[in-house]
Amino acid sequence: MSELPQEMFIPLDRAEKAGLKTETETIAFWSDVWRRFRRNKAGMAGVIIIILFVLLALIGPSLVPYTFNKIDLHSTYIHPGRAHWFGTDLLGRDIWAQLWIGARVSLLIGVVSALSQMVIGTIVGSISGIYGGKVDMIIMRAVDILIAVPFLIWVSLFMLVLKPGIQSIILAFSITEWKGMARLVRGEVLRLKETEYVLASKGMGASTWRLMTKHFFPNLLPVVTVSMTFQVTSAIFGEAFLSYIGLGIQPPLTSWGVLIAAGINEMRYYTYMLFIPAIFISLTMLSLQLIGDSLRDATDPKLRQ
Amino acid sequence: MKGFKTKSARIALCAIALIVGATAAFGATAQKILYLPADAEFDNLDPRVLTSTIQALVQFGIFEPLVRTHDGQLLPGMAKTWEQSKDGMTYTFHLRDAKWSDGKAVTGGDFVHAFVRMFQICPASPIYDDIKNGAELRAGKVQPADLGVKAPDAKTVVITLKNPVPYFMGLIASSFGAPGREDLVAKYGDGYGASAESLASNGPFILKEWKKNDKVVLVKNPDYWNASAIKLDQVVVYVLPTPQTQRNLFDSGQLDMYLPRSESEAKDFQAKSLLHLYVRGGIRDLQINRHGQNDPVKAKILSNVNFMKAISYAIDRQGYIDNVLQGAGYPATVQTPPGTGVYPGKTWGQVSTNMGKYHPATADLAKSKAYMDLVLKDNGFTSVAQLPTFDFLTSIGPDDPKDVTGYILGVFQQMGLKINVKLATGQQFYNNLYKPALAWDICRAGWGPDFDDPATYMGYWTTASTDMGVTYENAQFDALLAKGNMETDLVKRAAILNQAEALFADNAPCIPLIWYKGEIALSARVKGFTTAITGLTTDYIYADLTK
Amino acid sequence: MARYILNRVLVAILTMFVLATTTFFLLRLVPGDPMAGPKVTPEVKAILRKHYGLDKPLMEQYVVYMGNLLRGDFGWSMAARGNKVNNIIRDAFPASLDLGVRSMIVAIIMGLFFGIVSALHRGKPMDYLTVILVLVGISVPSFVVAGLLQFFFGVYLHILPVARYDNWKSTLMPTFALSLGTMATLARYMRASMLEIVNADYIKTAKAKGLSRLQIVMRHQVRNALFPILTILGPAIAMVLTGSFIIETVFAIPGLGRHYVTAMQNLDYTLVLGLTLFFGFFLIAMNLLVDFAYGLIDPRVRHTRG
Repeated sequence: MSELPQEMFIPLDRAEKAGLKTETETIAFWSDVWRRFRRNKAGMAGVIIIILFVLLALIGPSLVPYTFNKIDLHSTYIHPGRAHWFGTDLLGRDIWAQLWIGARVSLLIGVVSALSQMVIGTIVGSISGIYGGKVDMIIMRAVDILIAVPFLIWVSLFMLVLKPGIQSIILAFSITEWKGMARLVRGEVLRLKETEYVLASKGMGASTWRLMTKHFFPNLLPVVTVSMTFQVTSAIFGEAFLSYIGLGIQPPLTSWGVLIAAGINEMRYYTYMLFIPAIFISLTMLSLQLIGDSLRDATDPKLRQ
Repeated sequence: MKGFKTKSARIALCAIALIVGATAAFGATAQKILYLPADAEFDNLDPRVLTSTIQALVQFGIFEPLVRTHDGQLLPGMAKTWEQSKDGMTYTFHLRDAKWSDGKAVTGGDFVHAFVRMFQICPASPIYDDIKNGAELRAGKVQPADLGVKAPDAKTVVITLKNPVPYFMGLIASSFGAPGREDLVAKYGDGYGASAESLASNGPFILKEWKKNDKVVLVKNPDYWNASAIKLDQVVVYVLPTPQTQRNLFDSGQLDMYLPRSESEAKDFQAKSLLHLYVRGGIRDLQINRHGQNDPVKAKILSNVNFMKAISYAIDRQGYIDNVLQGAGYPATVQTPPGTGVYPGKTWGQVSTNMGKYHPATADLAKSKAYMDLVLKDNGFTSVAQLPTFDFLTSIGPDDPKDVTGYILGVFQQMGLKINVKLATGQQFYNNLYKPALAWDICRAGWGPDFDDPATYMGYWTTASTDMGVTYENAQFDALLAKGNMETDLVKRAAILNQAEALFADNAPCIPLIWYKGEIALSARVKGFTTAITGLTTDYIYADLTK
Repeated sequence: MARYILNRVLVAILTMFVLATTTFFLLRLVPGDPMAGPKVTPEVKAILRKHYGLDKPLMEQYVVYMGNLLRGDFGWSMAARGNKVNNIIRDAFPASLDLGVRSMIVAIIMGLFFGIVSALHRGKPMDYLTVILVLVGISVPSFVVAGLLQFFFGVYLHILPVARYDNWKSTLMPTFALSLGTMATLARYMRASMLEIVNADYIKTAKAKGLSRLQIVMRHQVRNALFPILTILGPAIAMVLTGSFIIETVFAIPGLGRHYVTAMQNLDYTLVLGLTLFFGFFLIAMNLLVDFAYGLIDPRVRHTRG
């Protein structure tokens, strides 16, 4: 579609523009999403579980009189019970306290990595979609290369270079896992570019920045939010994978991945050490999946009732 | 009719089962196969290339050294007889008629080649620096022909030393004392030792099959000089990276040996009468980098001997062993484990005058605090909180059956020390441990013996040693060890070593933690199984299977 | 079509080149020296460094490496001394391939089966069963599945071999653990894809024509629902591949994944590099195949892609 000649339009002045603003649409959209989301029982269950876990991650460790890394050689391998709700490990450390400190670490890694992937992915994807041509081609080739090797291989390679720790894991996830988001955003931008209201806005002399903030981002938000929910699960899983092969979180800090790795080694005699972290990581992944699914349904215009 | 049919089918089935069963039973009695676990892939079985306990397990069976030790006895190997010169510096070995598995004769030249190659490429060669011109050959200062290992004829090997070494026969009773094949090295180049076909065997067993990361199969060598004493037909070693897997296979009867990882496991096996005890060498320790990574404030604190003592007294060795290792060790109160041999008939435990005197078995927090107060005073501090943050280097590897790191961190925490943990996996650990990085103030490390003598536990701390990242840097200690190793009277030598150990235990930058306890579970059918080189290698050569 | 194929192949070659270069320099940024080790003297280390060409300038090392790579030579492993990376891959690939193929077959057959059945029985117990399977499959990490399976079937019930990979019984647990995630993903996509076209006009036409239910399902619904499924096969293969890293370690399977994990821990530059490139090459080739297959089935792709 050819662009409309700009001279044909006389720009409006500020006051006139203000009068034309219609922002109610987006607000209506999100309250509609929430209304539909609430009706989905599975999604709501997921939200409740995640809220509960976040709360426990914040207050859980202080509910017991032990710090998570407090070593007590006189109470090693205590089975779950009154004194230690989730038992203790080989150094007598309380597993309840470790579990919720681990939850902090795992959830933090999940959420922050997903956020930064979203930011990088959205920016790169928008640039690719808006400018097109050579820029688009270079970016898409870079994405192809990142996709050629599974992200866990990339992340492991980066983790070798970086100093092990939370920041490094987040950094490694952020620089390798934006590709999916970028592709998604690029596709959406290409679609939006062809819509009439964007063309109209362009015709009225809107800058690229204005197009992005005013039209692309609000419309991208539903797609990006859904995708982000899944990125959180993939980051939590990635952390567990790294910790299992020894490139992730290092003691004295702990994470769900660290706890599961320890549990697998001890499962013959101390089964609870595997089951407890396994159940919690699985419930978290499950809840995030449910939230993602019902969020997708709630934001899908096709399913609008 | 129907009933008959079923019946006849049953009979037929039974007959088949009987035949199959009989064949299987016949096969089992005809072939005695021992199944052993290995923690990791062997990668290369040339003793000159890789020499850890993993490789030693197989090398021990397929290579016959000049002499062998079995059950604490020195036995002939490729050498039928040998004699020592009066000054204790020249050994002459007379070889027996023996063949390699590919039919070639074993010659004196094969031994010369092996020792030359060792000094040229083997990381462990400094253990043999007592051999004349060994260190010089490694440094490229002399020609291979100048090495103190010579073959005057095809049936004789003469080894000349720089100085007398009381434990020399024990030193060469290992795979390093085994011959090598110059022609095969030339043929396979860098790939020598990495495949079954590149290696020729001269030991009790022949390397028949090697499936990488999975298993090796050794078969009895019919041409072995002592073949009539070898009972096993085959030894199969499975590569099983996790202890869990080894344990499960042991329980299901697919493995004949398992090293218990905890005392609860050991108790399980004891109840079933499967547990055997053996002497096991090796020490776990904390080492202190007195140079403090060139930070003068840290260096002053770390080189204060009271700092070492403050940490040592805060460690509850016995509690750690009882509760975490669940009994699988002894508190290390000095450097050398008591089971180490020192001269025929005596172990270090019987001769040492230092046991229990220097580092405490149970924590003494009051003493720890008193030592720490001295450190604070010497450095002008008033509380532990004012001390700088120390870098603690540690690893989690197959050598650490239980969480030593976690416990030590707990001790530091209790003392109020600020610690920055540098946890390194595998190779990264060594990269941080050694110069030039030396990127740590305190490090959790350890030592496995190279031979059965206290000298191996102290030698690596001499100023000249490059075995660890740090050394003792004490001239008196160096002189005592040198003097001890020149002394041919073994009782006098033990006294000198005692002196060296006392000095070391009192003020070296090393805090001994534990000596492991040797516990091994064997399936009920195994007989005559022992360990060698102070428990680091299993000795299955003369083992037998009853069922 | 020829132009499309050529284009895809050229892009694949470029991708391989960039992948090799990036990985090469990334690994040299890793702090440390693969030759350091207990009881390694500086002299011995210097000999080893020279032997592996690590004493040369970085650019020279790079040119030498890329030259060898063109000849298909990945060089010598640095930790597994005396072993060529090519030989390591040759020896270990069969086990990984065997496990991977088994897992993919199980995942595809079971995934499609559950997807189809649940779509046909929407809202009935079978559907819920599938939904539960899908949720478990995507929310429980594969190494947790592996650990739990080992515990129940190997340690607790003693009915399956705990580890090693030498008979059909020993393949069951690793195959299931590795395929579960992919199976769940496929079932989920297949179900959605089936439901999307259940109301399509041609299905209604087919019904009106009086075709049997089975005919409709197999000829029209399943076949058309399969198209979108093909696109997720590429990522599914990648998922099986990374999953194998842990599964192979847990079950002591002598495959490539186990080598990769130990090579990273040993700083074995050449082995990590060789395996990364091998994985990359393998996945790119697989994706190309999937693309071509898609192009053959759906003519529209030829024009809109690449």
